[in-house]
Amino acid sequence: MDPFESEDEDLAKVKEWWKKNGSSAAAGVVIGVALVFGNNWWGNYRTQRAENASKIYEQMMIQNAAKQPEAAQKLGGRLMKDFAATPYAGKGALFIAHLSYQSGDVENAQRQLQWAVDNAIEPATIHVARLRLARILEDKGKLDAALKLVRREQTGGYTAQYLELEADLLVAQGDKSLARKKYRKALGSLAPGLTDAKTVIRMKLDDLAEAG
Amino acid sequence: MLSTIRDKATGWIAWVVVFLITIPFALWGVGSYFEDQANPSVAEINGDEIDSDVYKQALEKQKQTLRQRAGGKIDPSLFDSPQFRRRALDNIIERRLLLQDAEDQGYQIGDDQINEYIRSSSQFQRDGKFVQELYIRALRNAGYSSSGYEESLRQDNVLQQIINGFTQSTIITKKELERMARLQNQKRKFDYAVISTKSFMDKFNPPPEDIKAAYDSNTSQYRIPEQVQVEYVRLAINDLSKQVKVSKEQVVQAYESADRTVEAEKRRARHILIAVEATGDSATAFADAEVQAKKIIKQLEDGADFAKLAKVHSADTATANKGGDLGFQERGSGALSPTLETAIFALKEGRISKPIRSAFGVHVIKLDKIKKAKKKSFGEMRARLESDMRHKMAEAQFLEQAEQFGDLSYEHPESLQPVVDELGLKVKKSGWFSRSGGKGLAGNPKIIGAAFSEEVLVDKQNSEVIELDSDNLIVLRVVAHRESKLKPFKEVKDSIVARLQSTQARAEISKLGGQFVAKLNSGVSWNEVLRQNKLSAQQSKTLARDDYSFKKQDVLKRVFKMPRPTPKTPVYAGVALGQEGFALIRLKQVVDNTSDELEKGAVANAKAVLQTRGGAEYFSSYQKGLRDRADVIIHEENL
Repeated sequence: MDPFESEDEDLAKVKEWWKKNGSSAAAGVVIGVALVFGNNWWGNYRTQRAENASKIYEQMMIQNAAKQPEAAQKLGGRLMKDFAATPYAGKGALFIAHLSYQSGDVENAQRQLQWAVDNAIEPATIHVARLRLARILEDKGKLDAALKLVRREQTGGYTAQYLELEADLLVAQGDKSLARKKYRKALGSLAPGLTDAKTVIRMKLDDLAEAG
Repeated sequence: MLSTIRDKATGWIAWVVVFLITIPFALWGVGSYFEDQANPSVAEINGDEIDSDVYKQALEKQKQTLRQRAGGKIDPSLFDSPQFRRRALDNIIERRLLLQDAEDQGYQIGDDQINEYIRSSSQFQRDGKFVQELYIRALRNAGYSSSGYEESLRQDNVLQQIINGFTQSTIITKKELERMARLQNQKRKFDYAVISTKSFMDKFNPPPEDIKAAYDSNTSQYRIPEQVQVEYVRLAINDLSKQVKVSKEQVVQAYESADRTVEAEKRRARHILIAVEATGDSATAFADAEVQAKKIIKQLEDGADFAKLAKVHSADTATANKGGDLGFQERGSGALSPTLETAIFALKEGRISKPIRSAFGVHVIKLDKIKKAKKKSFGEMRARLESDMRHKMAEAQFLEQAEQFGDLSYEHPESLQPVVDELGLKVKKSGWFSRSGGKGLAGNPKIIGAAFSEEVLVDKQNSEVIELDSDNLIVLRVVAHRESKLKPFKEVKDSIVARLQSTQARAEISKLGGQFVAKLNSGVSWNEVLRQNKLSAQQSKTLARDDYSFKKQDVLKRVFKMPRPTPKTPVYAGVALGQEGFALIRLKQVVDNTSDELEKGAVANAKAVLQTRGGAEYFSSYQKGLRDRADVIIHEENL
């Protein structure tokens, strides 16, 4: 075929193609444009939501610093209820748990932490909630439940803390030899610079020394 | 062929092609096609590039912080060390990782929050109100653009939100607190006995061939290093200042012209300000104000009260209610505007000025009081003036002679005598010293370097002029030299014997100590083992693990790593004490206290540790998680 056909022929071909595929091409363009705008709208909407949650979070901090636990709890509750898709919801749960525990309401603290473990979207929040929840379960003597919780997933930078807590629980259950192993492993996976953690875990390990 | 293409290129196809080509340029611009050579990337963090500019800024900031903390005394070579550079980069990486994750997780700070923050921060406020000018000026001084500053604020606030999320929400359970307080404050009761190395040393008589072998194989340890003795002449301002002559007349003269002021003159004035707006027709406004000022002056001359008039007429709100009082002011303190100050210092006490124009308007001033300057007497100043003069004259002499000093010692490299004769200096002699230095001047690295330089040591010439500091010059030459040599065997034999004995004794003691512990563990009593081996136990101790008043920390450390005893069966252990020997330990009791039994301070201590661990440590761990997962590439060559 001659690569340089006349323009009239080209034009005719294009017209024919348009007759066949015109409507679907137009639909494609319309859908594409709609997607772009929709995506933009969705992005703006999410940013707006996050900014609102961020403001409430700041207010919660201010109330907390001003020793107004009730007001702070209320704001935390709003974050959990209305802004569950933002990271602020999980942080709200951590705060309510903290405030409840301080006021002696251990049950509510436990519920909030459980909510964070189940619903928070931020992995770090879930880890922290799980560790704190396990400590509360330990305090209540529910060692098996606590162990199950800390053994679920020992990652995200929290390996050492999970292992240490697991060892604490094992000591409480009387399994000193496994506890020793876990403490040693915890020491091995600590981030550098955490001197307090190092001192404390060594202290716990030394306290379990065996003869020989 | 080409012409066909050109013919076709004028048609609509060409336009389509051109259009297609423009798309990428419109979207990404031309810039991204060129690598920025002046600002190369120093690292890539999860695909995010860190520019060299950002890194250099961080480096500079880190230098400033360090300098401030060290109070200016800092070795600049520290700034070039790779660790220092690496720390700056690590900080950037850490921050970038946090910001990346904050974005992924959905943390947001809105514009209104940032505005609110800026408006409420006191550094941009005057009298409790936000002032736009202050904000702009502060930013300009710090080298920020306003969008740059707002972005960095946004980042800081997001990070603060994240950190607070960890540190402000901690929970400390009773069980944890109990355990921590118990462990931190645990005490252990123990006895110990020391098998001393000394008591065993006599038992060993190292054979002569061993002693000789130790001497031969440790030659570096038994060597006397190469040493020199130098003589030197010194040209120093301090020495010269003792010789120069200063007459009393000269000191008196200096006193006359010296600044004798202890306290500068201060003047207290009042003023009334007739304000003139900076806008509009200022010439007429000033003229009007002057007319008003003249009226006020007339009233004052007729005996009106200045304070009352100030209250009514003065536009200076800060002083109007205080009778227009400006307080005592020194000349040049900057508290007053220059025209006002000049006028005040031109007035006589108690007099009222003519109308004075300043940038604010027209002032009427009354000078209330002059506090005269205080001056020092000749007696008070004589000693200092004289020593200053001596120093000055000596300095002039020093500068004059310094060149001669260098020339003479260089032109007569075989002797210091010409310098001594010409400049009237004295030759001094040092003690022996090696390359690692000696006493006094011989400890100065510049002196050591010169003394052991080839031209001084080998060619026996005068050294170059050594500038100890800007006031002290030295030229030296070597007068005696001892080659490095092995110390004679006789001289070191005793110390070799002692060393061999100690090594053997310690090996023996450790072995024995182990046997004693085994004996104790097999049931032989503590007292029996001690008696058999003529050892005496130290007094029983009950100590906490961090009791640093106890001298034998090795023993204490071992004690806290021992298993728990039961009331009937103590636990035994041994520990080597380095040179000193070996300690046998009997652990009798572990004393655990509950938090109720402990002092409040001890419990608070435990709580503080748990607070940090459950807050800041969880944050660090989160960061560790980010780092472990991150894909970080560092371009070392661009650092």
